[in-house]
Amino acid sequence: MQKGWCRVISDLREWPSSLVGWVLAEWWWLLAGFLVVVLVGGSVWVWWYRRAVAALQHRSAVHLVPGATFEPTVEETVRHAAWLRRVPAAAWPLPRRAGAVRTRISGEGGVLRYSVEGPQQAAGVLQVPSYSGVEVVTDRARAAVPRVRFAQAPLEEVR
Amino acid sequence: MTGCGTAVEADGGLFVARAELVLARPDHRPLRAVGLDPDPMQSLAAAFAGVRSDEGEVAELVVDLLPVGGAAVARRRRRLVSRAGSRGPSVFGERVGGGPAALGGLDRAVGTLAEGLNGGRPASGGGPGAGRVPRSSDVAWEVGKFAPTEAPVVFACQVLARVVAVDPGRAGARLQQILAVLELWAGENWWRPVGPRRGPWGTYSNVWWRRSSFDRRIERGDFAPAQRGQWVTAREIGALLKPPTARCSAVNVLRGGGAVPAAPAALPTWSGQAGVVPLGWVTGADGQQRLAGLRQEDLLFGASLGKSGFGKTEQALVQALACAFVGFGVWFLDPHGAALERARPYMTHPQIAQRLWEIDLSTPGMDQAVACWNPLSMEGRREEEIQEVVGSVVGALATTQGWGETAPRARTILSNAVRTLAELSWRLVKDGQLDLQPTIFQIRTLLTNEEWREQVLAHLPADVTQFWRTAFVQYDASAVPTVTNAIDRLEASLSLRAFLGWPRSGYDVRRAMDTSRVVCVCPSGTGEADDMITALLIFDLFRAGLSRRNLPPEKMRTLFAWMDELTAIDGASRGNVARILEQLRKYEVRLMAMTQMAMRLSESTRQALLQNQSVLSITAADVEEAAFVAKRMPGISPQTLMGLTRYEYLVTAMINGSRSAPFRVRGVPVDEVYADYYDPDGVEGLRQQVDANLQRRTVREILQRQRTLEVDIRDHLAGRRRTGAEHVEVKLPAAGAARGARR
Repeated sequence: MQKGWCRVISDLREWPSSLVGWVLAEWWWLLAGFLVVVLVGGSVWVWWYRRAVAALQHRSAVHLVPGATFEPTVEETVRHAAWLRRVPAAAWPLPRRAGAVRTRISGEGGVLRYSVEGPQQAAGVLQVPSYSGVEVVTDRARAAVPRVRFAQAPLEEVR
Repeated sequence: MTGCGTAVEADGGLFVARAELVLARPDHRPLRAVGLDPDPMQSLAAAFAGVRSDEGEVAELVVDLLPVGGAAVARRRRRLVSRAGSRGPSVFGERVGGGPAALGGLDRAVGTLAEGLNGGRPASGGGPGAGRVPRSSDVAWEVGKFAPTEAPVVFACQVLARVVAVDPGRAGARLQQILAVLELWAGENWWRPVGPRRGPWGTYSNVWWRRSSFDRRIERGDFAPAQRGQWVTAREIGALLKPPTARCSAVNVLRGGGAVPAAPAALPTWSGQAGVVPLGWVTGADGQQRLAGLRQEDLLFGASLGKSGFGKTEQALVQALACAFVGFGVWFLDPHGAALERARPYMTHPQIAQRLWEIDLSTPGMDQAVACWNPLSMEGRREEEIQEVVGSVVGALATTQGWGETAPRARTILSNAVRTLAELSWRLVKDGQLDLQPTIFQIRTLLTNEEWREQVLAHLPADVTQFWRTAFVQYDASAVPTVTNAIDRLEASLSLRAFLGWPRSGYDVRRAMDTSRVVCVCPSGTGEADDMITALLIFDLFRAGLSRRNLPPEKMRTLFAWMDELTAIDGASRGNVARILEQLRKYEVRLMAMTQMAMRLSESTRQALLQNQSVLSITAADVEEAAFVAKRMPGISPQTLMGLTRYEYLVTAMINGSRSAPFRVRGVPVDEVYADYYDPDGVEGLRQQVDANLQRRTVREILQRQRTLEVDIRDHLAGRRRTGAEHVEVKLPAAGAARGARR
């Protein structure tokens, strides 16, 4: 047993020199491996980044318009925060870069406005009012009014 | 882009000041939990008050949050506990006790203090290595805000503040105001702007090497904070996670009326299908917008309230046209005629045009074709229907005049006059003399022209003539003008002389109901008699509805009636609107009433309307009206109603037999939703079609007919007597006696 340990220790003593020898002998394999890892990793990063940028092009926003009597408790704000936790989950899988929920407090025309933005896929979560006494106004452009036609009044009849 | 200092110049002569804020200390040290009273938004509102958006100015504070999972928080907590373990006993995060004498004298002093607090025992208890074991308070301190007792909702955060202003000083000052607001959170930890505080390349995130990253993040929404792994809890930043509250007294805050429930899912989507009456755009619980409507069977009576110019009439027009297009009967009372004018180019389609009746009582030209209505006409009626004619005309005129029970003589005289003329009419129709039927204006002739009356009575049965020869002669002469005054008022208006002056009726509301006509009535412009003719028309509608009582339900076609400006009509209607609302549901007459103020309606109309409405719609209203209506909209405050914008309504309706919670509706304009049916070139053709539908006559022709009508009737009756076409016993002595009695 003791003899075996001695051999291992003596091998370890020789290990640095043998490692250097191996690296020198196989340096081009190592370089190729390193380049492959960099290329693959870089490609994945670029793909992931571009995916984030693409997701950021389509964000959903809602304005939270409070009533004059809106007076939440601390517990309500915590519940709202817990609600916001669902936003990235609803948009999963998204890169971390594109998954955040944004609270924007802005002054437009001197008037303070409060809005919440998030990934498009999480629009359903954002649009549900989590505060009572606060109106959720969607920021999306009004859908075009469809031109209604009646089966009882076909237009071919007059054209 | 150039610049230094707090703000740098951007395009368009604007200056931008940027700052990204990160936690100044390790993130397990908590920020100060800012309370909600007073609301810190108040300070932000003050900072934003001077922002001139029209000049391109912007001021915004952005807080990006990315939730941190419970497992990640637990790992962080374990790491912190482990660090507490390796540090050993500590006070306020500083190591004390048996550890290496990193703090020299202070360490020893604090250790001594801790021993003193523990009654002379070592700070972390006795035993070997006791000086290295942390107390629970040490661990709690080290774990900080991530302590499990808090069950914290944790986010990774990125805080960005940006100000764009026309002046660099203003941009910088406003940014400093925003940073000052964030100082409220300064406690064990605080927000610190990233980047240099001074230097040749500007401050904070305005330095050239941070600028593009900042702008990309704020404009595109990237979450890439300058300092990774800075976590905050919901309790710390709760004051930023809610819009301004009631405790924010600033006036420059966008406020609404409060939340309104989403539209019920059971509300059908309207796409032009039959059986659904449109409401407008609604937003469902899923945030999806759609054009919604109410099922026809759910819509019995409707009330639409709110300020003038906020789209009540437009909504009614969209509904009326939809009903007309799918084949329902429509009766639209539009006192001012504006709605009809707007709707006309959309009604040229044969589906409506062939059924359209227009009753426009604005002052006509002499050669203009107008619709005619003879309430006394017996054309197409049976003899036993005479009593209905009497009932409708007398009821209408009596209610118009407000006679009630106070003028029994006038009522009796009018009843007999109408009965007499209706009997005469029936006989003339029987003779094929449709163009000789007496009109409402012959009531006066009958009452005041004795000779004509005698000539007429000579052809009528004894039970009709009896009144004139016995009771009438005993009345005081002053009783007659009570009746004739009403007729004189009608006759004073040219448009009413034309409308009511032709012996044959083009307009017959019962026929309109039974054949699903589209009737547009504009009674305005008749001067003093506006009220009277409106009352006559509404009473006629009520009577016609009631007259369907003998029809089996499956044969009753639904008529949707709209009454605009109900307040103006209500006074004249003398309770008939209320009667329609109370009694006509069974007879498939469904009334939608629009008015600016329900409070100004008469008691009976208001009660009937609100009691029976199956859809209540309100747009913006004044405080008193809002309070009045809010009582009928559970969960909605008067402020919400007062804050409604143009073409925006709150609606509560019966859906599948139960009352819905109020929901928001945005109106659709006629010109958009019916754009495919817009045909302004077809309006002239539509007029000709309406002429044919209603057999309209020119005013000149009608007046000419009226001038000779009584003579023609007399001549016909004289000729009839000669030819013996029909013999009616004439009791000349009785007539003579009557004349003698009057004298």
